[in-house]
Amino acid sequence: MKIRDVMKKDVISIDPSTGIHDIYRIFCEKRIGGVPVVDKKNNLLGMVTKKELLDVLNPDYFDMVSDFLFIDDFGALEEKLESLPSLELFIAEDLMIKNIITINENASLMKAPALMNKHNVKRLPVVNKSGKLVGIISRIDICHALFRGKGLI
Amino acid sequence: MAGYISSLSIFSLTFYFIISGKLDRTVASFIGAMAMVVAGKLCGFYSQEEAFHSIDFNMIGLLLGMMIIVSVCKKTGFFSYIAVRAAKASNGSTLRLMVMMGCVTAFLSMFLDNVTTIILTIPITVLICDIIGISPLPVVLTEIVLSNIGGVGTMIGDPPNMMIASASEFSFDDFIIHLFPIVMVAIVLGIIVLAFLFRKETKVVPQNFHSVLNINEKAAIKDEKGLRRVVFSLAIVVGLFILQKRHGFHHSFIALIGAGIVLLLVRPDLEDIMRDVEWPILAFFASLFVLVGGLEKAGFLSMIAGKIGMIARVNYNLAKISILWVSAIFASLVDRIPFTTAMIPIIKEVGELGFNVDSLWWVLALGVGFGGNGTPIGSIVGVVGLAMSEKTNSPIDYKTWIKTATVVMLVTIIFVTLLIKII
Repeated sequence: MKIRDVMKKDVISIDPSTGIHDIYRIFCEKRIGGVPVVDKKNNLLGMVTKKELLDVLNPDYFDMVSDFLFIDDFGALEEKLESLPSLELFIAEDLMIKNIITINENASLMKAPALMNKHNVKRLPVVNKSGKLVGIISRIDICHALFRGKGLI
Repeated sequence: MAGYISSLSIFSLTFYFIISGKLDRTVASFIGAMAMVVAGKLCGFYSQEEAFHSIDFNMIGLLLGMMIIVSVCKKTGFFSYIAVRAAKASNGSTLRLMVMMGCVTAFLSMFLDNVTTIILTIPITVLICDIIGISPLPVVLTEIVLSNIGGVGTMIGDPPNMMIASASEFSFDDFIIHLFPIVMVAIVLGIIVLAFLFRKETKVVPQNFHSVLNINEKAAIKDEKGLRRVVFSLAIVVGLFILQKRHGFHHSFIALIGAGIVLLLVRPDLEDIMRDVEWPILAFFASLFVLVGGLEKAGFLSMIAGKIGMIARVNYNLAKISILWVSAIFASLVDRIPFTTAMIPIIKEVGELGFNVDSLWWVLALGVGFGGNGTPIGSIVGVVGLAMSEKTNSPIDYKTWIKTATVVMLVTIIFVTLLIKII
């Protein structure tokens, strides 16, 4: 079985200028956890997941702090966060991860779970030869395919 | 003559690649070292045996031992604990916070590798500043500057000191007697200069100081038993260093004995510790020693030593002042490690000309140490510190650096110049 036989073809994608609030709404309404970012010609540029939305809240240097489990009260940092005036200004282009793991539509289905495990991602955007987004595949899509193959669905 | 030209061009080319950043510095010095060995054999100025012997394993062992001890130490949460304690003691004054954090960093830099100190203290400092609601910039800059100054204070504070210790056979207490008092005054001078230059920023009263008082810093310590054992091992190492003249063990073996004790007592995950040891830095030093060894055997360094000897014969203090300023300028503009490596055989040769070079060693250590504050690229601490500050909302730019840290560098070097007769 190939990826293109299993992937979701009606993939929801956004353009780089989509605002953070719209992305949040897409996540809520469509019940998805990640959305590919494409340009006008449908070339895949990156990916925004729920994780990237939350990363906006953490200052950049947080990943350098070796341990802050012992801190419960974030004082002025917390106050600043609650009134984060610039939150609305974030757009998909600032938020997205650029070096994303993709899978080719002609690849074997076997490859998808292996890639997901190796890079610890929940979904893979599917691209064709020229790098255009043609679909998306998630863990549950692979499960569907497997169980359908066994006649369980 | 062929040896002269080839060794000098290989050294200059390597030096260029190191400071321009076109090649990773370890790769550049490694290729340079190999080129030096090949040229040495072809032109007959540097044998392979001489190349082996040029590597100062005493210094490399000292660095390795300290890296292992520090690696175990940093996993205990000790640094966060100290930073929060210092922040609490600042009692709600921005100026006092700047001074406390700077002094803690300077003190830690005297015993631990400066870069490690900075990597562990800056993030928690920025977090504390953000929590209490002040700009982290003056505090972070003070930490960087005082880390560079503090590192000069002891034999194990900074790699140039370790190299000098190994080459000159000075002991730990020689460094304490000759450099520590000067460094203490330089720290005070640095604080005065920075407090004056940041007088506007430090007047701000933190609004959320109570949040820091709420932090339970004891919870930062992940492994209290482990920490006590690390401190115990460090105490043994310092004790052995202080008694070095009595027992006569080399610097490297003292540090490696300490590393052995730490590994035995704490039983950390060895793979984890070995990943923390900066092997590229150790390879960088080994390569530099081979590289400079070729320059020395080709006779180039003797020529410079002869020139310094000529100055010293006329006016010994003038020779000291020139070494101080040349070292400081070199250290502030380019990588000071290759410079120090090349200066070591030069000073040794000046000694062979019949001069007492003790004070030249101290001047070299002070010059390259304090000089590191001259520009952001003068020390690895500066490079790493600036990169870290870029992740905060008040990054340190070159202009701020020149207006503050460079002033500290000039003040401290002028201070040493005034003391030159008694050094």
